[in-house]
Amino acid sequence: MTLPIYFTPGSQEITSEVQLSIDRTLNFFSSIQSKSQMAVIQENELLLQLKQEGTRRQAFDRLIREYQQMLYFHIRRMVIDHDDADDVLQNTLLKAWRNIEKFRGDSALKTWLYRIATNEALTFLNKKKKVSKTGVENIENDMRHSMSGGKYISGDEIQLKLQAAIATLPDRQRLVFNMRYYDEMKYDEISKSLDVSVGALKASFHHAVKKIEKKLTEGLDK
Amino acid sequence: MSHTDDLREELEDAPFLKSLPNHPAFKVPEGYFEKMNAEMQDKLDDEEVLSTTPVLQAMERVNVFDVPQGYFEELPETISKKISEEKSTSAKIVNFDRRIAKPLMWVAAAALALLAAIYLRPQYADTQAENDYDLFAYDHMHDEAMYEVMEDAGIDSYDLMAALEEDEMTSLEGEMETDDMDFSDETLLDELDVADLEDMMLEL
Repeated sequence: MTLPIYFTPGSQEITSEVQLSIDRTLNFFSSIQSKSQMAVIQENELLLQLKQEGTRRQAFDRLIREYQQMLYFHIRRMVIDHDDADDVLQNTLLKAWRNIEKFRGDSALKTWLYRIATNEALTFLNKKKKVSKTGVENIENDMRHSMSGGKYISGDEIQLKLQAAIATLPDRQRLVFNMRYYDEMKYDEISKSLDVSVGALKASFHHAVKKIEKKLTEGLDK
Repeated sequence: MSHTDDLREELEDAPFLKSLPNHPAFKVPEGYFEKMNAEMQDKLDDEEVLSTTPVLQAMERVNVFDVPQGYFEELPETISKKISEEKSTSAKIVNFDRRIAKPLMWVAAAALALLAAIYLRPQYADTQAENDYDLFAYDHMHDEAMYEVMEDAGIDSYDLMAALEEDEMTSLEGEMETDDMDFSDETLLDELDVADLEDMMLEL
């Protein structure tokens, strides 16, 4: 890399060491700047391939590999059980496939996928509550029970206590808490995914945090 | 931007550096600083909330959920198979339609003629009304009773609901619709219990 704009020929020669140092500095800063640009370029390229029939299947395979873990854990934190999470994730991906042609790209692909996954997870939970003859409370008890002795769950006692406390939150509050606390999504992104104002999300997170703390400290004073 | 007099003096021994305009050489994406400010504000808000919850704040954010070995390696293949199955099923339906489209037209015509004959015979009117009543009764059947009937008939209610929802999905246009995702501010506020509201009032 050279400095064609600032270097005036004849004023002074730039030594190779100085040039190397400038190159390294410029490369460092441009790499930081270009990381987000690179992600945008890669997503645009993926979207283009998804729009074309000839490349769609291959591009969708790439999409699954790119987003499957993010979507799985988002769903898993909502439904708790692995088999349920697997069902919901498969439905999410199949729905994404059926509607990918209609995706206009008004939002980021990640936001769109989160939206489908959230919708699917909430629909699943609502159906589970409707189908259960023993009522909503029992479903919540089941979830808490799954947290303490379920398949594919690890973690020490306090971590499991935290998960059990999260499981007692109302679905939407739990969703907001997980997206902010674990996925570390920006409020702006969550707002686009759930179509809720940032203010309402912050209030929801605030109350979720307070309820969880209360559950975690229950019995400690005694 | 040019150098100040003080800086120019300090750069006396570095004529090349002195000759360079001190423009910022690095560009940032559009709206970067506004976005950064908003994110910082969000983080500060979270910090403030978490500072009142010492136990949660002290906890490590770990993932307690495990997956079966090889799950993520196998999932793309599983989905790919399901997509292929869907494609071949829809292709079969199209072929089937073409093959029997013509005979079906005759069947439909015959069925219409039969219906017209039934409609024109007054003694069938009462029976028809009874059937309508039965359908109406199903419409108003309580959810749980409906699930019992479905269970007796060996129908999985979840599968049925999932199938019905597939139909809903076909009507989607463009971006995902979120009609059943009620995330209005009112709904979120509904989920706050009385204690939450009291807390909020006290904080104001």
